[in-house]
Amino acid sequence: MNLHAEILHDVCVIRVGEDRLDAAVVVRFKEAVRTITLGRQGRIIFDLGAVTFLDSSGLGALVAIMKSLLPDVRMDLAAPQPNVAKVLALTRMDTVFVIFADLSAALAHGQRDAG
Amino acid sequence: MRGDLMDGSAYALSVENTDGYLRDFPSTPDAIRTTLQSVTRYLKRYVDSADIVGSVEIILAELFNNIGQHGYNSVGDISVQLSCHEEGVICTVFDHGETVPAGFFCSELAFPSVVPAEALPVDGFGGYLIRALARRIRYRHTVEGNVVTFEIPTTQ
Repeated sequence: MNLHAEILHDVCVIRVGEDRLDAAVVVRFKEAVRTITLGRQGRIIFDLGAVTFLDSSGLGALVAIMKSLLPDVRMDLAAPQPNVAKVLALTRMDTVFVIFADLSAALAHGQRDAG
Repeated sequence: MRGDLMDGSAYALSVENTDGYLRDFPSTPDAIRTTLQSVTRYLKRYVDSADIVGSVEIILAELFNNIGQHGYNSVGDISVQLSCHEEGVICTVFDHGETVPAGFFCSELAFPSVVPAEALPVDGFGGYLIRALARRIRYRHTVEGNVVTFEIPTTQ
């Protein structure tokens, strides 16, 4: 599972390096993310810029991850490609997650909130 | 269209030309992924719109996943046929698994509003994606199995 996590401006940024978030990888994806997010507080941003395809299994994994987080943890999505953004919009998950055009915009939003 | 390697692992075979695309494959997540990538490569040669190619990929992914997760008790065979026309793309999916529940292809179109977040489902999104993107969905259950046909028009 190709994931890279780092702390930027007190935000946990998880860069998803997989080309596809689908049924073939969803179990490994959830397990890998859980090791990163377990007990974590604050804000988490998933950088989806490398993901070209998201199916309902991958979408369900993102929802399950959000529901598994501590109550005060905020989970945002950044840089969805067009076909990923389409899935998020059709299932109205764009009203559940805050979605930013790119990671810079997501991080800037957090800094404005902090200021 | 399908055979088995000497080590017993299943493989898929494709036929593709200007008349259309045909592929048989097993209902495993890895074979489904490989087939979707193959379908997408084929469509990109004949369809200019990335949006249409993407929609076909989403619909087929959800149909294939549904067959793999609910149609068969274990692994079974799936067949997919595509043809590209001036008016759009026509796709047909065959399988020999369980009957699709009544209403799956004709329920309400949009995903229902679901708040608060803790009440969100973590599955069941696939049917909404199929119904939202596909046009002229037709489903038949015959003695030979399930047949789903749908269209993606090039113009709305």
